[in-house]
Amino acid sequence: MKESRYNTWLDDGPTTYVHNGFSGRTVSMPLSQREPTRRFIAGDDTVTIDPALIDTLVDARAIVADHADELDLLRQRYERTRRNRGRFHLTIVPSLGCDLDCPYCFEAKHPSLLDDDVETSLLRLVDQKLSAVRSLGVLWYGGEPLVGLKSLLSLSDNFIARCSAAGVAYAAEIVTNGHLLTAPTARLLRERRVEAAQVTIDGPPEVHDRRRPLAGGRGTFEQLLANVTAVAGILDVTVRVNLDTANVGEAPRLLEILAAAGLAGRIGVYAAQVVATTANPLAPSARYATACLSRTGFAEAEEQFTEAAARLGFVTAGLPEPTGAPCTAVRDNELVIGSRGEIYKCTETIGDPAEVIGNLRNWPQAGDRLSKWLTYDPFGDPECRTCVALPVCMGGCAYHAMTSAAPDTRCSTFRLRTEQQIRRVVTGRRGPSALRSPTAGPS
Amino acid sequence: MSDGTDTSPFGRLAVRGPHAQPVPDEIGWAVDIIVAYLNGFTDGARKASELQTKPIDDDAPAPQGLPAPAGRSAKETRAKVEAGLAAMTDDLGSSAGGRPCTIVTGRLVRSGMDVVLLWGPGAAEWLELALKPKKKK
Repeated sequence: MKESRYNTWLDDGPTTYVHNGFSGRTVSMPLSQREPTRRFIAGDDTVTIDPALIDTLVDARAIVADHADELDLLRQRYERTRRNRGRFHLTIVPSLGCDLDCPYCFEAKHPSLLDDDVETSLLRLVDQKLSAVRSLGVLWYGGEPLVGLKSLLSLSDNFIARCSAAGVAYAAEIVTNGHLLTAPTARLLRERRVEAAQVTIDGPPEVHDRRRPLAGGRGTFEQLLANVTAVAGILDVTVRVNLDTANVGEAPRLLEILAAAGLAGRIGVYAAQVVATTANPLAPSARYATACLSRTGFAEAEEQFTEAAARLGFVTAGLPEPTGAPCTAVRDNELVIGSRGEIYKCTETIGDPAEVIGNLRNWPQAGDRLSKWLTYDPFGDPECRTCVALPVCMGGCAYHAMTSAAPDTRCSTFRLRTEQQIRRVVTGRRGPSALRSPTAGPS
Repeated sequence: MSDGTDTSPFGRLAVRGPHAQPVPDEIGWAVDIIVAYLNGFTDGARKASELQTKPIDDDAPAPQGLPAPAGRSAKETRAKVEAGLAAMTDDLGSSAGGRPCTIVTGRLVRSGMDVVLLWGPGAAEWLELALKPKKKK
C-alpha cells in the first residue's frame, strides 16, 4: 500500500484531517494517530494503529495499492466524461446584445436577437440528438439572455415538449445580469424548467453602478437588489461578485447590504476573478488588464470573501469536488450556440469571429477549430501532472491555457490555497451548510 | 429539483448544483446532516447524539480514535488491506468521477419524515427518470 498523491494532511487542534482530492473525501482522526498511521502506511508494523481508521482511509482512497497509477486513472476519468454520450448540453445566446455596458466584459457585443430561422435550425439539431441521450441541459447565456426573452420562452416550450415525447429529462439554468429579472419574468422561466439563475453584483451601489451601468450610464444596483430579493423564492439564485483591484475591498460591504436585505440563507454567493482576455481585441476586456488581480491575489481575496459570506449566513461554496472533463469547451456532446446560429465551444469566445467553429445551418462539420478543443490534454502539461488540484480541476480553463498571457488563470484556486480551503471547510462544519462549488460560467 | 416545499410522498430532497434553496427548518436541518456527508466527512465526529442522526449514521464508519479491536494487529490489518486493494478491479468507481451513486436514507426523529437522497454522477437525471410516471400500455 501507499499514500495517495492527492492527500493533504492538516492539523486542527486535537484533530488531524486528511483530504483526498481523488475521492473528495476528508477523514478525521485524533492528532495522536497521525504519526502511527503515516508510519504504518510507510511499512512500519511495530506501531499501534486503529484498524477502523485504516479501513476508512482505504475507502476514502487516501491509501491506494502500490501499483495504482492515479494519474492514469484520472486520465481515464477525463476521457470517459469527455465522451458522455447520454447527455446533450447547449449554452444558448438568445441575444448577443446587452442592456449593460461593463468595462471588463470579454464579449464584443452588438444587438443581435436569435431569430426564427436559427430557432428552427436549433430544434432540428435537438431532434437529431434526442433519440440518443437521456438528458438535455440548457444554459441560457448572453449578451443578455433576457433581452431575447421571446425566443428563450419559445425554445424552452419546444425543448420541453420534445423531451417529454422522447422520454428525455430536461433542465435549464440562466446566467443573467439580472436587470430584467423581475418576479413575473422569473415565474415564466420557472414554468419553463429554468431552476437556477446567476446574477452579478459587483459591490455596494456606488461601486457596482460604476462597473455595471446600463448602456446609457444609469446605475443598476437598486433594480438588481429589488429583483434578487423578489425572485429568490422562485429561482435558486446565486450572486456572483467579479473582483479586481478596483472593488476587492468593497466586497464585505456588499455582503452586509445583501444580508440586511434578508438574503442570507436565501441565495448563494461566490467571488470570481476578472480576467483581461485579450484574444478578442474588440472586447472591452482587452483594455482592462491593469485593474486585474494576480491569480494568487484573487485566491486570497476569494478566501476572505467566502469567510465573510459564511459569517453572515450565506450559503458558500464547499471544497471543489472531483470532476471529469471540466466544461463544455472540452466535452464532446456540448455546444455553445450564438444568436445568429454560429457555434462555439467556449462561452468566453462568444462574439469572437475567430473562434466560431461552425454554424447550425450545416452542422456537424469536421474542422480543426473543433479538434483543438477536443484534443486539449491537461495530462500533457507538466504543471498539471504534478498538481494536487488536478482531480478537482482537470486542467481548468482550456481557453485560458491556450490564450492567456497569465496561464495560471486557468487553475483552480484550490491549487494555490489547498490547506486554507480545507481548513475553512473543516472548521466551518458546525456553521452554515456548504453546498457544491459554483459551476456556472462567467458573466 | 425540489424546492424543499413539495409534497412528494417520498419526502425526497434532491440537492444538486451550487445553488442555495430556501427550505423549511426541518428539511434544512436534514440538509445540514446530509451535506456534511456529501462533503465527504466520513469520520464519526458528527455529534450523532446531539443532532439525532443515528439512523443516518448507521452506515457511517465507527468513530475513529477508538482502541483497536482485540486481536487485530498492524500486521493483520496490513494483510487485510493489501488483500482488499488487490481485489479492486474498478478503481474509477464511476463514470463521472468521485463516488458512485449513493442512496442515503434516514427517518428524522422529530418529524417522522423519510429523507431519501440520491447522490452521485447523473443522480438528478436518474431520479427524474425513475420518478417519471410510466406510460400506460
